[in-house]
Amino acid sequence: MRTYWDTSAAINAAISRQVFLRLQTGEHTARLHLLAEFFSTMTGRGVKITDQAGKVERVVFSQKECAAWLKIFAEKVQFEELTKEEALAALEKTQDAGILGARIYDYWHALVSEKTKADELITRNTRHFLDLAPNVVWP
Amino acid sequence: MSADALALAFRAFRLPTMAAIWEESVTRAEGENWGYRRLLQHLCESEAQDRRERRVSRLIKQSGLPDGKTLGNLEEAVLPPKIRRLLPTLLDGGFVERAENVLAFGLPGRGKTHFLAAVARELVLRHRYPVLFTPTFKLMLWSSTAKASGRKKPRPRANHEPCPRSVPLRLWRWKGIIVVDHCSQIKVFVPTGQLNEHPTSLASARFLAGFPRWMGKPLPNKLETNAFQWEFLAMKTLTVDDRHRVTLPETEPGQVFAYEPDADGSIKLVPVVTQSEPKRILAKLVERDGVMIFELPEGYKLDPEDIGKAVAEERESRA
Repeated sequence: MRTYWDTSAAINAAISRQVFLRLQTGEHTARLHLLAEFFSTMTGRGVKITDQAGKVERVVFSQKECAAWLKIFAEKVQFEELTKEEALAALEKTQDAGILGARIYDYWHALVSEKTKADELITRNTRHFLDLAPNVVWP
Repeated sequence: MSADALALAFRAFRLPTMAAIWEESVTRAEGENWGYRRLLQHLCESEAQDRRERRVSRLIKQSGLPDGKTLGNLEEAVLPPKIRRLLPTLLDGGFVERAENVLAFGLPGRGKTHFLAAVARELVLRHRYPVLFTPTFKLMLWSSTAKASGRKKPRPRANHEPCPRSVPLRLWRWKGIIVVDHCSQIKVFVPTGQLNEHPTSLASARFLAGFPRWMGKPLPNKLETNAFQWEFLAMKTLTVDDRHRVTLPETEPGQVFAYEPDADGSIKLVPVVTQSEPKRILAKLVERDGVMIFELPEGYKLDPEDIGKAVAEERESRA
């Protein structure tokens, strides 16, 4: 079983033991870009959390701990990337595929997932990958 | 040394976090077989982390930035595209290092103050720059009080922070970012060179009366930095502005109202609910049954769907 990890799935693994345990079995792939996106999200804006009274705050990670966790994650994952030719060919197809703006990030994730012959692409953004990859699952 | 003496020693050395957590940390260290080095590291890191958080809270409090004007409730969608594109550049803080000034010009209610206050708040949160938010009249008042008292300009404080006990002098002492609101309230604006002694200032003005004197050139309705110009003209008119705020004695302290002129010329007061910015809470990396995961702060829960939203927001902000 080969699993391709999207950034949102990696963040989920960072806060959920159950999701993290998925890394213990099978093969795992991701793009190096994931590390930067994870770091950028979790040391920047963070993720919304709510207390019992419903008050909304945001949870963030410190840079040091974020880097430490990503190191653990990276040891369990093989990183793949599009070649220059593949990336440029993909950009040419964007008009026909109706991809513009920030959706290019999802598109490239889907392409690398396909390139690595992943059986599943795990993400917390399933809606974003609906037309891009057939094997999208929740962590 | 007894436990009480140790706590006192920590406090005497101004290490309040260590004083608060050392007992719990020692118990944990004994239970989990930490070495001396790891225990010390844990105590020092906790102290450093708390200091960082306290520093940010202190800077926000000292800045005098209005509570309701944050990036969280700034409607980015109504900003003109040019200003939206500028926002990440401003939040990056590079203009502070380059000692550039940012000026927001525009018609009343266009969101100049909100925009600049939101930028300044983020600069405190992200880069820990000291900020002082002040309307122009106070700036002038402090300046004239300092001059009238005949005090000489003192040397800047080592930590570059404002000195709250000496308001008239704090502008002289302080080398942070200054946000000057309602610049055009004063016809003869800012005495020669005074504001320019600060490395960076953010300023908003409804009219242009004072600015030609300051900048040495007339400026149209624009947001200007040394390098760029962006128009505020396309922004939606906002209903709340500092000049519209009044506090009524029978209401809660801090309750904010917007006033709207009625057709008959009278003024109608409308309560405004100001939304405070969500706090950023640090999750701790802990080991649980051989797995390293981040532990959410106690009492908080996270909806997994919000992870996807956070990543999407991050991508959108870059795009």
